Amino acid sequence: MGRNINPYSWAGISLLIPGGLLLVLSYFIILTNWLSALGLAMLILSFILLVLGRTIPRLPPEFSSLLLETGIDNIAAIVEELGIRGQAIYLPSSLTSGRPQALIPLNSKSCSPLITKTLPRRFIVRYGDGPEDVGLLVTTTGTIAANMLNSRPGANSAELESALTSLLMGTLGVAGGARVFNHKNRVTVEIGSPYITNKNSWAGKSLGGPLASVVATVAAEAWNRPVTITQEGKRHGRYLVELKVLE
Amino acid sequence: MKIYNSYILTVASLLLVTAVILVASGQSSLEFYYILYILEALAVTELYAHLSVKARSRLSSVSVVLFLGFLFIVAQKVISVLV
Repeated sequence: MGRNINPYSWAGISLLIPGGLLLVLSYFIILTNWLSALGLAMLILSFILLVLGRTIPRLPPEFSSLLLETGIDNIAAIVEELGIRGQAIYLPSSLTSGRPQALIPLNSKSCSPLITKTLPRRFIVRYGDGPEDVGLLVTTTGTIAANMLNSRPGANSAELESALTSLLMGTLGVAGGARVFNHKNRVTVEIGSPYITNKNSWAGKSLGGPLASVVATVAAEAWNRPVTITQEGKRHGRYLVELKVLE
Repeated sequence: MKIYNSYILTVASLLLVTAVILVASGQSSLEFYYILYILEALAVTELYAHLSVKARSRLSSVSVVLFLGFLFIVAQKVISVLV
């Protein structure tokens, strides 16, 4: 298969040539309008397929999965080696230097630390005044996914739902949609038809799975406040992610 | 890319059903077929609001080309009426 030719482009070319021939032959030679109409429909479809074919990333999904798993394994190794049991806190870009990231506090006893100042762009950061207020600032799946959003969603269920559906369904193609329920500082996100599953790992317990990571990062950006994942799991074919928006 | 497949299948099914219905009803005007096709394609594209930004911007270029075809048909009709 050629470098830029994906199945959509192949299908487009396969419809373009016979569609064009059918239209010309039936309109000018056979003089049958219904056959010309069929050729026209084939041409319209071929244009759509060719255009969509040009939007498919060149990187094969298998290779993307390889890169994702490598990154997750590396973070898992660090988290496991340091024996961190604390829950990661997803920070909005306003509290980090530029892009949303996750903070894993080294001290698991301080469950909800108050982060008010912008953290430096370093791996090991000090987030408070206490001697034990040190954590790891890591880039997650959500960090990269949130950068794919057109604009920052507003701090309400409707805007978060629209942003998540657009991201998970339209851009990443990993789910069939998302619904958001918001009650005070608790946000429940219901992801329909998820196509990826979580692996049980130490890092997963701290950072959450890839889907939960994306949801938490986008929610942190929407509310412009730190967010933690309180619960996640599959239920009746849907993936539920429960978040807590911190002060 | 499930959303792409769903989008293409929807457009293809609509165009096919339209062609079958119009042929069965004895419609012979190619312009009529074309106008219905582009209306359906544009409507389905609008309904798939969650397509990626890249896909939407590329599809809008197809919509522009199809709309130019529609304007050409309208212009032809206007000229035939005037002349």
